[in-house]
Amino acid sequence: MHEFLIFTISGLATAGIYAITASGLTLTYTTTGIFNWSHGAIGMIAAFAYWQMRVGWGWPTVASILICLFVLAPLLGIAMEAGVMRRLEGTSEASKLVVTLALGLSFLGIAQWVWNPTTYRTIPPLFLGHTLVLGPVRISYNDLTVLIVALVVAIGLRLLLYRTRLGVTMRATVDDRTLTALNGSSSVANARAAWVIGCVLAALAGILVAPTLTLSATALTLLIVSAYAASVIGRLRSIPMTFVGALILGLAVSYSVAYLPQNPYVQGFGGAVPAVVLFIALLALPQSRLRGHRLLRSRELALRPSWRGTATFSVCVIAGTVMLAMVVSSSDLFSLNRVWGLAIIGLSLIPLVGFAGRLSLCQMTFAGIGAAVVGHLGAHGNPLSLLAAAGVCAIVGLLVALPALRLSGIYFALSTAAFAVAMDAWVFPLPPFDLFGHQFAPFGSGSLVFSPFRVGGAALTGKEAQFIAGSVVFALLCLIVVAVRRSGFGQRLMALKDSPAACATLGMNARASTLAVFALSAALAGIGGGLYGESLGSAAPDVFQFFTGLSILLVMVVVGISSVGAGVACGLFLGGPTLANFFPSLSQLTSVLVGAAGTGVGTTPNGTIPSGLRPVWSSVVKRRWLLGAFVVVVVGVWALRLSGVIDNWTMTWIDLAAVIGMPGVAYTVDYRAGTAPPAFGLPDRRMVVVGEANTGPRTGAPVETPAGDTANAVVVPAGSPGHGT
Amino acid sequence: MRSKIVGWRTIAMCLVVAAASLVISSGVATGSMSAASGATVSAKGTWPGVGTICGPGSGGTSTTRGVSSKSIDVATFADPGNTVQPGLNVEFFQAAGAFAKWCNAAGGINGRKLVVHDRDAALFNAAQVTNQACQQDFMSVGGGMALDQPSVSVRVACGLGQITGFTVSDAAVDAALQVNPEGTNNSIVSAGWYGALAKKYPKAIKFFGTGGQNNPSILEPEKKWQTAAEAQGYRTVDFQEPPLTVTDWKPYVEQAQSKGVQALQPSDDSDITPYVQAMNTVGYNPAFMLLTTQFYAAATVKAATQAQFPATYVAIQNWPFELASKSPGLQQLQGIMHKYASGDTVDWSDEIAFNSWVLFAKSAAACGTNVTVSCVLKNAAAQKNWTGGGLAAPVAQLAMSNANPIPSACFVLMTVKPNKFVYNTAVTKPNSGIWNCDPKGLIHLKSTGG
Repeated sequence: MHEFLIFTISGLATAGIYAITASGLTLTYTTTGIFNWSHGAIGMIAAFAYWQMRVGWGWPTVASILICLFVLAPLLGIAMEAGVMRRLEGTSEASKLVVTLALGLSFLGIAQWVWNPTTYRTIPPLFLGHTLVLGPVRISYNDLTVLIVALVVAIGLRLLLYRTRLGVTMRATVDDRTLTALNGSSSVANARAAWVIGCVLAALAGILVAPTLTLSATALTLLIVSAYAASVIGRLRSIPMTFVGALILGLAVSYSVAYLPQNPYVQGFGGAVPAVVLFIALLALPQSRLRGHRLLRSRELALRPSWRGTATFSVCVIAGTVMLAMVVSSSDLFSLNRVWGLAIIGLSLIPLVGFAGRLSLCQMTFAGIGAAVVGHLGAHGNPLSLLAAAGVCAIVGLLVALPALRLSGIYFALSTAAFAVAMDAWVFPLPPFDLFGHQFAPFGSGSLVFSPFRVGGAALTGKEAQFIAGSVVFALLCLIVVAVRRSGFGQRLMALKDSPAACATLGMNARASTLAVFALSAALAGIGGGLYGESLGSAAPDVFQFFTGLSILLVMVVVGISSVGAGVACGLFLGGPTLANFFPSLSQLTSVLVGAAGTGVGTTPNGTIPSGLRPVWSSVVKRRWLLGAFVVVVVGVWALRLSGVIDNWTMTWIDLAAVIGMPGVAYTVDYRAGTAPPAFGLPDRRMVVVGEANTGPRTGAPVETPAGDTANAVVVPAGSPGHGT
Repeated sequence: MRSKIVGWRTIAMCLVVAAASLVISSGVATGSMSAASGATVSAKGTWPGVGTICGPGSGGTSTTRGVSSKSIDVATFADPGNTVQPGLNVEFFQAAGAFAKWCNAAGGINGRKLVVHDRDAALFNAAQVTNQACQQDFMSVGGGMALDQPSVSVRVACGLGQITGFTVSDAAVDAALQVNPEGTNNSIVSAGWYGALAKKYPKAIKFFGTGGQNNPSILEPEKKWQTAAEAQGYRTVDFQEPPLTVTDWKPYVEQAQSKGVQALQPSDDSDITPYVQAMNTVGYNPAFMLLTTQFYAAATVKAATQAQFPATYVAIQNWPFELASKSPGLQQLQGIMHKYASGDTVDWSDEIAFNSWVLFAKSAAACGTNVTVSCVLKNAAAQKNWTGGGLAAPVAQLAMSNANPIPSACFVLMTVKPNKFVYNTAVTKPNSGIWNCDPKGLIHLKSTGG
């Protein structure tokens, strides 16, 4: 009984923190229609800022807390609203999700940049050393403070929403945004207030949770992300239900620590409890209504690639790889080898996100499963283990997608995130176990060792051979992705993205198509994971963690989620040694850059390749002599490098100059001939709102029904056929 | 037009964020603790009690991986990038950098400059970073990874020799191609401190509670400690295996209390602060608490200012910093860190790192121009009465890790006080200089494990 009381109090304190953070999330979502994935990261930043003032600079505790809560957090809220969130009005749900994810990743990168992640930091608990003794139970003043603060927040939010004008308009916005606006309420003011309160609550949670653990940016963010389950229990609308959800979550976590047997197989499950609660809460949501009661043409345009173009691309990829393999140093080649695994994992997102419009946050988890399969089955270098990895991942993908199928939008994304976090926390680190007479161990005793593939009796032990083989696999998979896009199946996926309701009316089996594309995407990710593991030589589960997957998704979206070329960019950017060679001391640069680029997705929804690179280079490609000159320059420079006349850096600079210069030459030629288009080379970013044009004034992001049914404003680039106004 | 304005705004915002980050990070940098000062540094490449280890020379051609006529590439392993305990053993990187600068300033190893590559395993990527080291490094020196088991086969397979700072798992302890300057052995454990504490707490040791965080690399040595303690009269009433990611220690403290543990060696293997805070919250106060070497660090005595510790002892086999005035080698270490790594904290990890680096430099220098892994390891394994020049307890005869080395029996016990460690002669009962070197402290275990 004594133990039970101790853990109940511990659980209540945890629940308090979850309640504070989840109510902030719910408040911003209901008022603005944006599910803020960076909420956890905001709490993390606040915790670090608090540490800086309290411990780093030795300021008084109260002053540090007050500055964090009432100066920094509101400023951040106002800046986020004005700088990022307001621009998301009327964009698709996918854009909002990607932008807030990107923002979160930027915060992570900035935190790790400012506060060196290899430094050990702790924050002393509040009222250190003071304990309240109630009979057999002892409660630390820190826990007591958390409980009291949570109660104050609950009462404060109640008063705000029911007793103030601001609260009433906020609630009115939830019920009917348009009507509220017609009654003279300012949606901007409401949104600003919601972001400020949301940021303050996230910061409060971050400050309260910080003393309970070592300060680590990713761990803190993940801990606060756990609170999302509480918001989902409150169906992202009800603050009292959110508090109930937090209570369930906090107690579940605490009791799992206390009563789960001390067994290595079960222990990790404790870390996965919030994810499991989230998954169950999502499954308990009512079936989403089919979208499509308004004209809805989603902003992403996935062009239909030609076979000729794809074949040329594949040949170029392989030829480029061969050329590169012959000139780079062996340690750079070791890093470069990772490129193709990551590129394929990026590629796996194209059918699912680019074509079908479903956001998955667990692609890296499938890659991890694929790696585990290849590590075990390919122990003797059998390359067919990649196919086995694809098969296993497809089956697991089906199992994950089946229950999540009925969810849409952020709820689907949340369920995939829950799956990823549960796998990271529990399944991947499992010690070896026996099942049906076989020993299974996802990652052996902590790390899987991969043997080089054997092709035609010879092992691909050389890094060059592995690098080239990776490019061949990537090129083949590109052909598969393009075949999918060109097939009837691909067109069905595109139709589903545009209007599930219309598809259902036409008698299309939406479920089968969604399941199939999820399985296909999981299978591709599995192959990518296997290849990634091969390139590393040995891999621990850490390599396949949730946050790495987010970076891949963001790079793909930024570059162009429907273009196979984005895979190459993704692999080179995240796996290649270039950035590390340029900026060896700025290891966080990658995530900051990815995040910063991702927050701009709202303005270039199609990505860099379709809106930037392709229009610029098409003028080069259509002039054969110019294309020929480009090839001559690249091959010539490579030959000079091979003969030792120039070094790698010179080659890189000349190639880069050629890539940038050729479109310039094309423009000059066009200009002289008087045929240069006025906005040549620049993507036309003017956005035109379609669909809401006839439905009254734009009043910000629409409100989502509990099951994620979004009435979307529609934004397409100007000049798209048939959609201009 | 609108898109251009937005673009500039975005760029401006990015610049503001970057500038703010730089300002804050420059502020953060000034907040850290600094290395001890005041000691002298030999610029000639000599080490007290060891002789000349670094100096100019002709270098010479070599076909060995990582060795050129002008430089030697060396890997140092540690785990600072992990998220469970950020900064874990970052001292290995700092010590390696400082030693290399000092050695290179004296001319390098026979004219070859040391180029140190920091290999951060971040706990879980031991095999992966070992693989990276295998691409370009000559040897691994002065490092250690908490979860080192997966790295062993990779390292041995690629012929990466190692003079290690520490080894943890059974597989790493007796691995091939390795010399451990402390002579660590799977079947002979140096654990005399259990006996010393048994004399002071004869009743409490019948209620011994211990454990380790749940990973094979960590649990293997913890189980050896348990056996060694039981061989000296301890009776285990509680053995805990909390997960690596534990944040709330109250359940584990509660369990130890309910099982009546009086002699406590906590199952917490990283920072002791939250553990003792949980003890205070639960109201648990055992007769004494024993901590192993990794807790001989500033964080422990700082924790003692914030939480109520029971009588707490740290058993170490390094020369105590509190007695640095009696060790010229330790003074030189402090001087080098002050000169070349000013601002970095100096603790036990620096001692074991320098112990390895001094041994490496001496052994490599003795190879002349023909520096090979086998030559360096052979020279290292031949050292007698090795103390790293006054940094560690003396090991009578070093040996290759897989050739049954015999560790030193010597130890000292330090008492934990707020903001300081105190050398406890009453419990240590020194019989050889500052050390207690009673050979009974060497416990022979029956099985050698994995």
